[in-house]
Amino acid sequence: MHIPDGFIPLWQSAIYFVIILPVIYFSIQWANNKMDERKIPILGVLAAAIFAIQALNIPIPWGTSGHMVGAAMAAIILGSPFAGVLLITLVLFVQAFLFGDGGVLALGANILSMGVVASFVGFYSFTVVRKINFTPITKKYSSVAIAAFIGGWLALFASAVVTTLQLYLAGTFPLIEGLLIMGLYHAVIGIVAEGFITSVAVTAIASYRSDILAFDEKKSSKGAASG
Amino acid sequence: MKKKDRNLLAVVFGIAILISVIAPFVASENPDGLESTSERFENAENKNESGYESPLPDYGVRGLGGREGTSAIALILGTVLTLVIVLAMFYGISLVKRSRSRKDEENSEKDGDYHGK
Repeated sequence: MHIPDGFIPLWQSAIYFVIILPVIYFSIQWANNKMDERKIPILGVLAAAIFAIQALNIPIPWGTSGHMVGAAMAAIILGSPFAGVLLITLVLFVQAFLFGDGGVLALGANILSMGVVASFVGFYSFTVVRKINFTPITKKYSSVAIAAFIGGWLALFASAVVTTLQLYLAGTFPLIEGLLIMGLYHAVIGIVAEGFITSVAVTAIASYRSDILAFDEKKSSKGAASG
Repeated sequence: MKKKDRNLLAVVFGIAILISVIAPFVASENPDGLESTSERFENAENKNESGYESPLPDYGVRGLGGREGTSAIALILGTVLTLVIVLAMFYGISLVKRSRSRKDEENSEKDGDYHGK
Protein backbone atom coordinates (compact mmCIF):
# COMPACT_ATOMS: atom_id res chain seq x y z
CA MET A 1 0.00 0.00 0.00
CA HIS A 2 2.64 2.44 -1.10
CA ILE A 3 1.03 5.86 -1.40
CA PRO A 4 2.36 7.63 -4.50
CA ASP A 5 3.12 11.32 -4.68
CA GLY A 6 0.15 13.51 -5.51
CA PHE A 7 -2.23 11.71 -3.18
CA ILE A 8 -1.35 13.71 -0.08
CA PRO A 9 -0.94 17.52 0.18
CA LEU A 10 2.66 18.61 0.76
CA TRP A 11 2.01 20.07 4.18
CA GLN A 12 0.55 16.79 5.40
CA SER A 13 3.48 14.87 3.92
CA ALA A 14 5.77 17.13 5.94
CA ILE A 15 3.82 16.40 9.13
CA TYR A 16 4.19 12.66 8.60
CA PHE A 17 7.96 13.08 8.29
CA VAL A 18 7.96 15.01 11.56
CA ILE A 19 5.89 12.31 13.25
CA ILE A 20 8.19 9.46 12.28
CA LEU A 21 11.43 11.25 13.15
CA PRO A 22 11.31 10.50 16.88
CA VAL A 23 10.39 6.87 16.16
CA ILE A 24 13.37 6.54 13.85
CA TYR A 25 15.51 8.17 16.52
CA PHE A 26 14.38 5.64 19.12
CA SER A 27 14.84 2.83 16.63
CA ILE A 28 18.44 3.85 16.06
CA GLN A 29 18.89 4.09 19.84
CA TRP A 30 17.62 0.53 20.08
CA ALA A 31 20.10 -0.54 17.42
CA ASN A 32 22.82 1.29 19.33
CA ASN A 33 22.06 -0.05 22.77
CA LYS A 34 20.04 -3.20 22.70
CA MET A 35 20.70 -4.91 19.42
CA ASP A 36 23.14 -7.78 19.36
CA GLU A 37 25.79 -6.98 16.73
CA ARG A 38 25.93 -10.60 15.72
CA LYS A 39 22.39 -10.17 14.40
CA ILE A 40 23.43 -7.59 11.80
CA PRO A 41 23.85 -10.12 8.98
CA ILE A 42 20.36 -11.43 9.79
CA LEU A 43 19.02 -7.88 9.54
CA GLY A 44 20.62 -7.43 6.14
CA VAL A 45 19.37 -10.69 4.73
CA LEU A 46 15.91 -10.21 6.23
CA ALA A 47 15.63 -6.74 4.68
CA ALA A 48 16.68 -8.11 1.30
CA ALA A 49 14.09 -10.89 1.64
CA ILE A 50 11.39 -8.37 2.55
CA PHE A 51 12.26 -6.27 -0.50
CA ALA A 52 11.96 -9.34 -2.71
CA ILE A 53 8.79 -10.67 -1.11
CA GLN A 54 7.11 -7.30 -1.57
CA ALA A 55 7.46 -7.93 -5.30
CA LEU A 56 5.35 -11.07 -5.10
CA ASN A 57 1.81 -9.87 -5.62
CA ILE A 58 -0.71 -12.55 -4.77
CA PRO A 59 -4.06 -12.38 -6.57
CA ILE A 60 -7.17 -11.90 -4.47
CA PRO A 61 -10.78 -11.55 -5.62
CA TRP A 62 -12.21 -8.40 -7.18
CA GLY A 63 -9.43 -8.09 -9.75
CA THR A 64 -7.02 -7.05 -7.06
CA SER A 65 -3.79 -8.36 -5.62
CA GLY A 66 -1.74 -7.88 -2.51
CA HIS A 67 1.72 -8.40 -1.15
CA MET A 68 3.27 -8.93 2.21
CA VAL A 69 4.73 -5.93 4.03
CA GLY A 70 6.99 -7.96 6.32
CA ALA A 71 7.19 -5.53 9.25
CA ALA A 72 5.61 -7.95 11.71
CA MET A 73 7.87 -10.78 10.57
CA ALA A 74 10.98 -8.63 11.00
CA ALA A 75 9.91 -7.34 14.42
CA ILE A 76 9.03 -10.82 15.71
CA ILE A 77 12.19 -12.50 14.45
CA LEU A 78 14.47 -9.73 15.71
CA GLY A 79 12.60 -9.27 18.96
CA SER A 80 11.73 -5.59 18.67
CA PRO A 81 9.30 -3.39 16.78
CA PHE A 82 12.19 -0.94 16.30
CA ALA A 83 13.88 -3.52 14.09
CA GLY A 84 10.78 -3.60 11.91
CA VAL A 85 10.75 0.21 11.73
CA LEU A 86 14.35 0.38 10.56
CA LEU A 87 14.16 -2.43 8.04
CA ILE A 88 10.90 -1.27 6.47
CA THR A 89 12.19 2.33 6.35
CA LEU A 90 15.26 1.26 4.41
CA VAL A 91 13.26 -0.97 2.07
CA LEU A 92 10.81 1.87 1.39
CA PHE A 93 13.70 4.24 0.66
CA VAL A 94 15.16 1.88 -1.92
CA GLN A 95 11.74 1.35 -3.47
CA ALA A 96 10.89 5.05 -3.66
CA PHE A 97 14.24 6.40 -4.85
CA LEU A 98 15.33 3.63 -7.13
CA PHE A 99 12.07 2.38 -8.53
CA GLY A 100 9.52 5.13 -8.00
CA ASP A 101 7.45 2.65 -6.00
CA GLY A 102 5.77 4.88 -3.46
CA GLY A 103 6.29 8.63 -3.58
CA VAL A 104 9.46 10.20 -2.21
CA LEU A 105 7.41 12.91 -0.56
CA ALA A 106 4.95 10.30 0.69
CA LEU A 107 7.75 8.37 2.41
CA GLY A 108 6.88 9.81 5.80
CA ALA A 109 3.28 8.63 5.48
CA ASN A 110 4.32 5.23 4.17
CA ILE A 111 6.95 4.70 6.86
CA LEU A 112 4.31 5.57 9.46
CA SER A 113 1.81 3.02 8.19
CA MET A 114 4.02 0.15 6.98
CA GLY A 115 7.03 0.73 9.21
CA VAL A 116 5.80 2.04 12.52
CA VAL A 117 2.19 0.93 12.88
CA ALA A 118 2.69 -2.49 11.29
CA SER A 119 5.79 -3.25 13.37
CA PHE A 120 4.29 -2.25 16.71
CA VAL A 121 0.89 -3.83 16.11
CA GLY A 122 2.45 -7.01 14.75
CA PHE A 123 5.04 -7.37 17.48
CA TYR A 124 2.79 -6.68 20.46
CA SER A 125 -0.15 -8.69 19.23
CA PHE A 126 2.22 -11.62 18.66
CA THR A 127 3.60 -11.19 22.17
CA VAL A 128 0.13 -11.22 23.71
CA VAL A 129 -1.37 -14.04 21.64
CA ARG A 130 1.66 -16.25 22.10
CA LYS A 131 0.87 -16.56 25.79
CA ILE A 132 -2.51 -18.11 25.09
CA ASN A 133 -2.66 -21.86 25.38
CA PHE A 134 -4.34 -23.13 22.25
CA THR A 135 -4.18 -26.81 23.16
CA PRO A 136 -7.90 -27.10 23.90
CA ILE A 137 -8.62 -25.87 20.37
CA THR A 138 -6.01 -27.62 18.33
CA LYS A 139 -3.32 -30.04 19.25
CA LYS A 140 -1.50 -29.57 15.98
CA TYR A 141 -0.51 -25.92 15.87
CA SER A 142 1.70 -24.24 18.34
CA SER A 143 0.95 -20.94 19.96
CA VAL A 144 3.84 -19.48 17.99
CA ALA A 145 2.32 -20.32 14.60
CA ILE A 146 -1.08 -18.94 15.53
CA ALA A 147 0.35 -15.87 17.25
CA ALA A 148 2.58 -15.09 14.26
CA PHE A 149 -0.36 -15.45 11.88
CA ILE A 150 -2.52 -13.13 13.97
CA GLY A 151 0.37 -10.69 14.46
CA GLY A 152 0.95 -10.57 10.71
CA TRP A 153 -2.73 -10.17 9.91
CA LEU A 154 -3.29 -7.42 12.46
CA ALA A 155 -0.14 -5.60 11.36
CA LEU A 156 -1.26 -5.52 7.76
CA PHE A 157 -4.85 -4.63 8.56
CA ALA A 158 -3.84 -1.86 10.94
CA SER A 159 -1.48 -0.34 8.40
CA ALA A 160 -4.24 -0.47 5.77
CA VAL A 161 -6.56 1.38 8.14
CA VAL A 162 -3.89 3.99 8.83
CA THR A 163 -3.23 4.41 5.10
CA THR A 164 -6.95 4.91 4.50
CA LEU A 165 -7.15 7.50 7.26
CA GLN A 166 -4.12 9.30 5.80
CA LEU A 167 -5.82 9.39 2.41
CA TYR A 168 -9.10 10.52 3.93
CA LEU A 169 -7.35 13.39 5.71
CA ALA A 170 -5.73 14.23 2.38
CA GLY A 171 -9.14 14.48 0.75
CA THR A 172 -8.24 11.66 -1.61
CA PHE A 173 -10.46 8.89 -0.25
CA PRO A 174 -13.91 9.10 1.26
CA LEU A 175 -13.82 7.77 4.81
CA ILE A 176 -16.44 5.03 5.05
CA GLU A 177 -16.19 3.72 1.51
CA GLY A 178 -12.41 3.90 1.70
CA LEU A 179 -12.30 1.97 4.98
CA LEU A 180 -14.75 -0.65 3.72
CA ILE A 181 -12.92 -1.34 0.48
CA MET A 182 -9.36 -1.10 1.81
CA GLY A 183 -10.46 -3.06 4.86
CA LEU A 184 -12.00 -5.81 2.78
CA TYR A 185 -9.03 -6.12 0.42
CA HIS A 186 -6.48 -6.10 3.18
CA ALA A 187 -8.44 -8.47 5.40
CA VAL A 188 -7.98 -11.01 2.63
CA ILE A 189 -4.39 -10.00 1.80
CA GLY A 190 -3.64 -10.29 5.51
CA ILE A 191 -4.68 -13.92 5.40
CA VAL A 192 -3.06 -15.13 2.20
CA ALA A 193 0.08 -13.02 2.25
CA GLU A 194 1.07 -11.45 5.55
CA GLY A 195 -0.43 -13.84 8.09
CA PHE A 196 0.47 -16.98 6.20
CA ILE A 197 4.05 -16.05 5.34
CA THR A 198 4.75 -14.55 8.77
CA SER A 199 3.47 -17.69 10.44
CA VAL A 200 5.43 -20.05 8.21
CA ALA A 201 8.66 -18.07 8.53
CA VAL A 202 8.52 -17.60 12.30
CA THR A 203 7.43 -21.20 12.97
CA ALA A 204 10.15 -22.57 10.72
CA ILE A 205 12.82 -20.57 12.51
CA ALA A 206 11.36 -21.48 15.90
CA SER A 207 11.41 -25.16 14.95
CA TYR A 208 14.86 -25.38 13.41
CA ARG A 209 16.86 -22.41 14.64
CA SER A 210 15.19 -21.12 17.76
CA ASP A 211 18.59 -19.82 18.88
CA ILE A 212 18.18 -17.00 16.37
CA LEU A 213 14.90 -15.83 17.80
CA ALA A 214 14.74 -13.27 20.54
CA PHE A 215 12.11 -15.14 22.47
CA ASP A 216 12.73 -18.53 24.01
CA GLU A 217 10.67 -21.03 22.07
CA LYS A 218 11.21 -23.80 24.59
CA LYS A 219 9.84 -21.73 27.42
CA SER A 220 6.83 -20.61 25.44
CA SER A 221 5.84 -24.09 24.30
CA LYS A 222 5.53 -25.44 27.85
CA GLY A 223 1.90 -26.32 28.23
CA ALA A 224 1.13 -25.43 24.64
CA ALA A 225 0.69 -27.97 21.84
CA SER A 226 3.93 -29.50 20.71
CA GLY A 227 5.39 -28.86 17.25
CA MET B 1 30.27 -16.53 12.15
CA LYS B 2 29.42 -20.18 12.60
CA LYS B 3 29.18 -22.21 9.42
CA LYS B 4 25.55 -23.14 10.00
CA ASP B 5 24.65 -19.48 10.47
CA ARG B 6 26.43 -18.49 7.28
CA ASN B 7 24.69 -21.31 5.42
CA LEU B 8 21.28 -20.25 6.69
CA LEU B 9 21.85 -16.64 5.68
CA ALA B 10 23.10 -17.72 2.27
CA VAL B 11 19.99 -19.85 1.77
CA VAL B 12 17.64 -17.03 2.79
CA PHE B 13 19.46 -14.55 0.57
CA GLY B 14 19.39 -17.09 -2.25
CA ILE B 15 15.64 -17.41 -1.82
CA ALA B 16 15.35 -13.62 -1.97
CA ILE B 17 17.26 -13.56 -5.26
CA LEU B 18 15.16 -16.43 -6.58
CA ILE B 19 11.98 -14.55 -5.72
CA SER B 20 13.41 -11.48 -7.46
CA VAL B 21 13.92 -13.51 -10.60
CA ILE B 22 10.56 -15.25 -10.73
CA ALA B 23 8.34 -12.49 -9.33
CA PRO B 24 7.99 -10.62 -12.65
CA PHE B 25 6.79 -13.83 -14.23
CA VAL B 26 4.47 -15.18 -11.57
CA ALA B 27 3.33 -12.17 -9.59
CA SER B 28 -0.24 -11.11 -10.19
CA GLU B 29 -0.70 -8.28 -12.65
CA ASN B 30 -3.79 -7.10 -10.85
CA PRO B 31 -3.41 -3.69 -9.24
CA ASP B 32 -2.75 -3.92 -5.52
CA GLY B 33 -5.28 -3.09 -2.82
CA LEU B 34 -4.45 0.60 -2.67
CA GLU B 35 -4.36 1.03 -6.44
CA SER B 36 -7.65 -0.83 -6.89
CA THR B 37 -9.29 1.32 -4.28
CA SER B 38 -7.94 4.56 -5.71
CA GLU B 39 -9.23 3.70 -9.19
CA ARG B 40 -12.71 4.25 -7.80
CA PHE B 41 -12.04 7.76 -6.58
CA GLU B 42 -11.46 10.69 -8.90
CA ASN B 43 -9.36 12.63 -6.38
CA ALA B 44 -6.70 9.97 -6.46
CA GLU B 45 -4.24 11.19 -9.05
CA ASN B 46 -0.54 10.48 -9.22
CA LYS B 47 1.46 13.66 -9.46
CA ASN B 48 5.21 13.92 -9.46
CA GLU B 49 5.39 16.82 -7.06
CA SER B 50 8.99 16.38 -6.07
CA GLY B 51 10.33 16.56 -9.59
CA TYR B 52 12.44 13.54 -8.77
CA GLU B 53 12.66 10.89 -11.45
CA SER B 54 13.68 7.48 -10.20
CA PRO B 55 16.30 5.69 -12.32
CA LEU B 56 14.30 2.48 -12.75
CA PRO B 57 10.66 3.51 -12.69
CA ASP B 58 7.90 0.93 -12.65
CA TYR B 59 10.04 -2.11 -12.41
CA GLY B 60 7.03 -3.97 -13.65
CA VAL B 61 6.67 -5.76 -10.40
CA ARG B 62 3.13 -4.85 -9.47
CA GLY B 63 1.86 -5.48 -12.93
CA LEU B 64 2.50 -1.93 -13.95
CA GLY B 65 4.22 -2.77 -17.19
CA GLY B 66 7.81 -3.24 -18.23
CA ARG B 67 9.28 -6.41 -19.62
CA GLU B 68 9.79 -9.33 -17.27
CA GLY B 69 13.48 -9.82 -17.94
CA THR B 70 14.46 -6.26 -17.14
CA SER B 71 12.17 -6.33 -14.14
CA ALA B 72 13.99 -9.37 -12.80
CA ILE B 73 17.32 -7.56 -13.16
CA ALA B 74 15.89 -4.48 -11.48
CA LEU B 75 14.59 -6.58 -8.59
CA ILE B 76 17.90 -8.39 -8.15
CA LEU B 77 19.59 -5.01 -8.06
CA GLY B 78 17.14 -3.78 -5.46
CA THR B 79 17.53 -6.90 -3.34
CA VAL B 80 21.32 -6.66 -3.33
CA LEU B 81 21.22 -2.92 -2.73
CA THR B 82 18.86 -3.36 0.21
CA LEU B 83 21.25 -5.88 1.76
CA VAL B 84 24.21 -3.55 1.27
CA ILE B 85 22.44 -0.48 2.62
CA VAL B 86 21.17 -2.27 5.73
CA LEU B 87 24.56 -3.80 6.50
CA ALA B 88 26.26 -0.43 5.93
CA MET B 89 23.85 1.34 8.24
CA PHE B 90 24.03 -1.10 11.12
CA TYR B 91 27.76 -1.70 10.93
CA GLY B 92 28.12 2.07 10.67
CA ILE B 93 26.13 2.51 13.87
CA SER B 94 28.23 -0.05 15.70
CA LEU B 95 31.48 1.52 14.43
CA VAL B 96 30.41 4.92 15.72
CA LYS B 97 29.45 3.34 19.02
CA ARG B 98 32.81 1.59 19.34
CA SER B 99 34.84 4.68 18.48
CA ARG B 100 32.82 6.70 21.00
CA SER B 101 33.44 4.19 23.78
CA ARG B 102 37.13 4.13 22.91
CA LYS B 103 37.23 7.95 23.18
CA ASP B 104 35.45 7.74 26.52
CA GLU B 105 38.03 5.27 27.76
CA GLU B 106 40.87 7.49 26.60
CA ASN B 107 39.30 10.52 28.25
CA SER B 108 38.76 8.78 31.55
CA GLU B 109 42.39 7.59 31.52
CA LYS B 110 43.55 11.18 30.97
CA ASP B 111 41.42 12.41 33.85
CA GLY B 112 43.04 9.86 36.11
CA ASP B 113 42.32 10.73 39.75
CA TYR B 114 40.25 13.74 38.95
CA HIS B 115 37.40 13.81 41.38
CA GLY B 116 35.51 16.61 39.73
CA LYS B 117 31.99 17.81 40.28
